[in-house]
Amino acid sequence: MSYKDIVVSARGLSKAYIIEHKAREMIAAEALLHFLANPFRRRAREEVWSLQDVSFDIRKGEIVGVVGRNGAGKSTLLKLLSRITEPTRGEARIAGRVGSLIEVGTGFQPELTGRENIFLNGAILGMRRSEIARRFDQIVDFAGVEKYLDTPVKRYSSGMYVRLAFAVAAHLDTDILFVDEVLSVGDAEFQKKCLGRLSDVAEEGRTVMFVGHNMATLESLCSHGILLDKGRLLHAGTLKETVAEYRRMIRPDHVANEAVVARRVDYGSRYEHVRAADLVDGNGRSTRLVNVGDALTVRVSLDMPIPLEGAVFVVWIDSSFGDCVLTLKTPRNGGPMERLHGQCELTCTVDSIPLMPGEYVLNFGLWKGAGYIDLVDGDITFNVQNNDAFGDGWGAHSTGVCVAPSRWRLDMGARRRARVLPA
Amino acid sequence: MTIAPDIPLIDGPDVIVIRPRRGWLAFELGTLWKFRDLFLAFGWRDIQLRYRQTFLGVSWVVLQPLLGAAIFALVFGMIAKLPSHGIPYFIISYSGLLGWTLFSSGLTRASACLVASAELIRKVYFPRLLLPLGVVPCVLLDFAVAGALMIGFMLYYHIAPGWGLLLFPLAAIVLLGMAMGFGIIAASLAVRYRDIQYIVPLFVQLAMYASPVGYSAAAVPAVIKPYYDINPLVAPIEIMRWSLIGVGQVDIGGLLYASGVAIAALLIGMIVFRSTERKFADVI
Repeated sequence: MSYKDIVVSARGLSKAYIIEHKAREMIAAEALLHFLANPFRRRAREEVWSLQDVSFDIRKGEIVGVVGRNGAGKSTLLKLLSRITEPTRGEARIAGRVGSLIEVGTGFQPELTGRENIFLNGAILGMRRSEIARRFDQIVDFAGVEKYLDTPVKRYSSGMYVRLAFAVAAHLDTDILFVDEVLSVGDAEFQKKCLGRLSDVAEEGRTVMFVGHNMATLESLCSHGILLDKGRLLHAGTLKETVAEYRRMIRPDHVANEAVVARRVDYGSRYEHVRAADLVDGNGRSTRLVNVGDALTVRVSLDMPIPLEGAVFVVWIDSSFGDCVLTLKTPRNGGPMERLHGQCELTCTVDSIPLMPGEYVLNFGLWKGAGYIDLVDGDITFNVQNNDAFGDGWGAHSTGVCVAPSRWRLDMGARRRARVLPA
Repeated sequence: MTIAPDIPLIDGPDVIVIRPRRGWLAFELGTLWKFRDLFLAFGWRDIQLRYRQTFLGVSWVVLQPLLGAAIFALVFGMIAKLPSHGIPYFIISYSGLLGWTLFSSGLTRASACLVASAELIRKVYFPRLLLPLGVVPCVLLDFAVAGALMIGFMLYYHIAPGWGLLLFPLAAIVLLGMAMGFGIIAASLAVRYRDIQYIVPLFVQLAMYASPVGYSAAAVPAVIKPYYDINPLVAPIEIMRWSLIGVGQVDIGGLLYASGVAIAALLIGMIVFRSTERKFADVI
């Protein structure tokens, strides 16, 4: 991939807000008096970094979701990129025309008619008058307000108002669109329409950066993601990875727990056979991070007061979207289960994990006869991290649901023959 | 989508560079030009809002200077009995109000524009300078309407302007320049200090009496004239009246002084505006 298709770049982007410990004078006269009384006094002030040292590159056509908790700096990032406020440090560059939908309907003038507001709002969003005229019918059509075009918007219902506002913004001829929270407006049907419009925008090859809190929306819309926390960039990559990373972040207990015994579901067992379970690395240490293609080891402590004939221990892995991607079972004939008795430890190792990078959930249970007699699910979440697992320089840089090592061979002679034959 | 601080930054003629801007006069003229349609849209918005309700809107534009002139005619012409040089005193005060209104409405509107558009500033990017500049079309239209009325009066009373009329546009530009200069300074300060919006009308009211609006500068006693002339509004307003009806004195030195003040106010305004602009969205 050439760096030429990068359309948004940020390098060390930082924004500090100054918090003054003593409330600042809001009255000019008072400020003047204070200055005259003590001209050299410096106010105690504190810098609060709402964004710190954020660097990333977005390529053309990517739809990037910005993920993070409240106050993580998502809105600040969007405000900096849409030039509403200036960075304190760092630099960002954007190639192409920028449109931003930080909030729909800003700049609408209640006294003016729908038609007049379309032109005014379009101009505020940086469109030339001729462009607005060209897009006019589309905008009106999308908003569905043709009957009320010459009515002052103060007489519009709030739904109409929002529809019109979104329509203007969504029909901007921009290369890059920054969107914040817009979809929290309007009814469900209109929200769907807005999402559809944003997808269209993306299909037209334009780049979208989207701040949202609804994971489902982000997942249906975005291809890539940025994870921010406390003003810092924690992750940038595909949306899947980013959401998984985010989920891991907001549930820190999953990193902390060393061994899991919490039970969620109990299918009538009178005895808790699974006493502890853990995901461990090659050195037997607890981990929640596995590299693509590395070994994955699950260690389970079992308490078997009596041997259970015909029991099967099952480990299965769900994706963060909840579908099962891998099931592992103790062998049907023979194997460790036959010797299982008393306090024991069962270890399951997959030598080379064929999972794509992302977040996964580990589940396991003891199966006997027609059902689980003990089951632990959803308590261990782990991440598969990309690396150059197979030494081909790619890692898991592709689409799909699983990975596998591959060998390539090029037979020069065969290739030459193939070229000669048709002639 | 990568984190790659070592990749060189994209560059090119259309690349928007976002970084902490420094320098006092770092206005991006190119950006202003790109947004020229927004300048017109802002101007058009104000005009539409002002002239919307055709009857009340337009009549208000006409009524304001007429009523003002009538009151001045009453106070200065009939009560104080200032000389009227054979012209209805009403015309003397109306011609003074012409220039005065250009200044005062420009100043008042420009000084309020940032706070009034706080929502816009917080949510949308556009060159902020367009807000104060955007008041100009409406102010000029009001001026034109009031001017048309003046032409009517001059025709009615058979007052013919001389070559002095050439000074009229010059005085108008100087007045507008001062209005914008002071207006931009006040607008920038108003973002920070909320009492500016009360101070400006007070200042405007005081300045009206300190300027030859309801009376000609010729009526000012010689003792206080040197102090009176410190007011940069004196010369352009007086010259505007003189250029139309020949009443009053022409003080070219005063006009030059006023031009200097206008240029200085505009420069200071730009600097103040520029240095606070980067914080508008954070403070407003």
